[in-house]
Amino acid sequence: MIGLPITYSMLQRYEVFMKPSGLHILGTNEAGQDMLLLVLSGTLNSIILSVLVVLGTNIISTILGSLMALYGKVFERLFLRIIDIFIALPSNILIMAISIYIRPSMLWFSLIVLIFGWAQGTRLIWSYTRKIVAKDYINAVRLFGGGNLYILYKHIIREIMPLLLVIALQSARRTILIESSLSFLGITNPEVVSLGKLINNSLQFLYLDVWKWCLVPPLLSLVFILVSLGILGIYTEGKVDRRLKVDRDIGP
Amino acid sequence: MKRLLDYSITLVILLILSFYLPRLIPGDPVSAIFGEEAIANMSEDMIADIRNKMGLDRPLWFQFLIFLRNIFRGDLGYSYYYREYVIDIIRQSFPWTLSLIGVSLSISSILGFLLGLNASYRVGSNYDRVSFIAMVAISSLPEFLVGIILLVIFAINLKILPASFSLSPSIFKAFLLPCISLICVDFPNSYITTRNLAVSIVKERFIQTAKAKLKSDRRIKYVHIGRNVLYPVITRFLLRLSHLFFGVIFIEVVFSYPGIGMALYTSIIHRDYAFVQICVLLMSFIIVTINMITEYLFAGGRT
Repeated sequence: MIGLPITYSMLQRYEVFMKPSGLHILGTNEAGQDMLLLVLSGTLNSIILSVLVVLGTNIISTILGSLMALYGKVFERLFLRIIDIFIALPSNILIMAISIYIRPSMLWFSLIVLIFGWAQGTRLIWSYTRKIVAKDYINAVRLFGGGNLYILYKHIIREIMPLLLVIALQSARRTILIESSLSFLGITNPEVVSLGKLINNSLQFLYLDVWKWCLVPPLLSLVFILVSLGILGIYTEGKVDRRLKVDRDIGP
Repeated sequence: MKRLLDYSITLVILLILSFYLPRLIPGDPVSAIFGEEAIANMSEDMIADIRNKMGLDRPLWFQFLIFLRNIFRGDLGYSYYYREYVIDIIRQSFPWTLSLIGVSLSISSILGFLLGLNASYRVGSNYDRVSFIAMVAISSLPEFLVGIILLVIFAINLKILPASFSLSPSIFKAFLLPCISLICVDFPNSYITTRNLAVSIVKERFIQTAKAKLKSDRRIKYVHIGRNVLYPVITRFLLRLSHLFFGVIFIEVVFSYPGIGMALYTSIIHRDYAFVQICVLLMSFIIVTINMITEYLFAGGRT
């Protein structure tokens, strides 16, 4: 629609395996495409995918998790069981299996990752909202005639904001992890540029000297994304735990 | 008991998914299950025979029953790329995978246990901070990246270890690099788990008592604290065992190690789906079963 995600056919072709120079800062790959452009578009594609999944996870887990705690009764028990079953499913292998058969486009892939990834976040929001709902001021709101949706919109969303950050970082990390792993195996959409695919392609030319500019840039880019998400995740988790007074002993 | 029910529902879902997925894609289920290339190489009689055997003209629930019956009989189908029965491929490759996971998980668990206890004793020091951040950084990398980084360093730059697995000249040397990569994948998790568990034990009163009794640091670390974190550390071992069954696929692909992950990869790229279907089912069954056993053994225990 607006040219996203970026595909291989969009990029111009030059000479094959050119060395890094002023014109092509990172040289070209085995198809003659500019390596810098490939790495940047692969990174952009991963970010778009993870934004899609993060938005989905956060919306589902906020609404479902807090409504479960607010309404309680059968609704809560039913969804808790469903969450438990989804957590018990081996999500990585199932995402892989589904991708093998249907080779999903980016939108479908984000939906598949979402289906196997919403449960943890929802459970976290539920367990925290349950504590808020037991507080006195929520009882006071109820006494004054505030309904469940009013409480959710006015009070709960504000209190769980920091948790949403934690869930967002976790699901972004997991999404990029599984996407790059699967595209490394070559079982995602073959047209879409992806860092995992770039790494796998350049692995075949390990014994030529080209790996220095074909393998190292996508590898470093992926390492930077994942390490920064990982460290950021641990730090926010520690901070949020301290703020919400959850004792979990993580972080230095 | 409640959790056991959850896991049994999960197992049923897995069975249904692995049966239903190949039938989900448009087109002929025979070509989805065996792959288009395999179909092209088969004669008309063979295809008709397969159709008859799978009961493709019968209703869907009846096909599912046939699928279940075949699995329980151990008749897992025939792979047209390998020209072997699926059960034979699994029988050949599974010991390789199991030994790789077993050796590296044991080493990383023991190392992580010892070093994690050591770090918990020095919590807040520069050594602890730096190593903690480094461990978080490594643990956030996917398995194949760890494998490739080690491959580039040891096999391409230093040229001291072989890049891909081969039985000659030395099986030990070829085994070393996949094993080290899997240790690197698992060690940060083991280290962080032990450290975080031990940090809360260090604050306990009985550690102060032990210090007052002038026990040596080493004894307090490895005996007093160690004994108290052993239980959750064993739980971690089992949970990671199931987790690594997915991660090992990538390590095997990077080093072309002859395990079940490599067999899966080969059949994916040759679109020989008979093996893929059974392999995915087997691996997810192993993962869920280990998780179930872990929860059954350790539920209600100290965590």
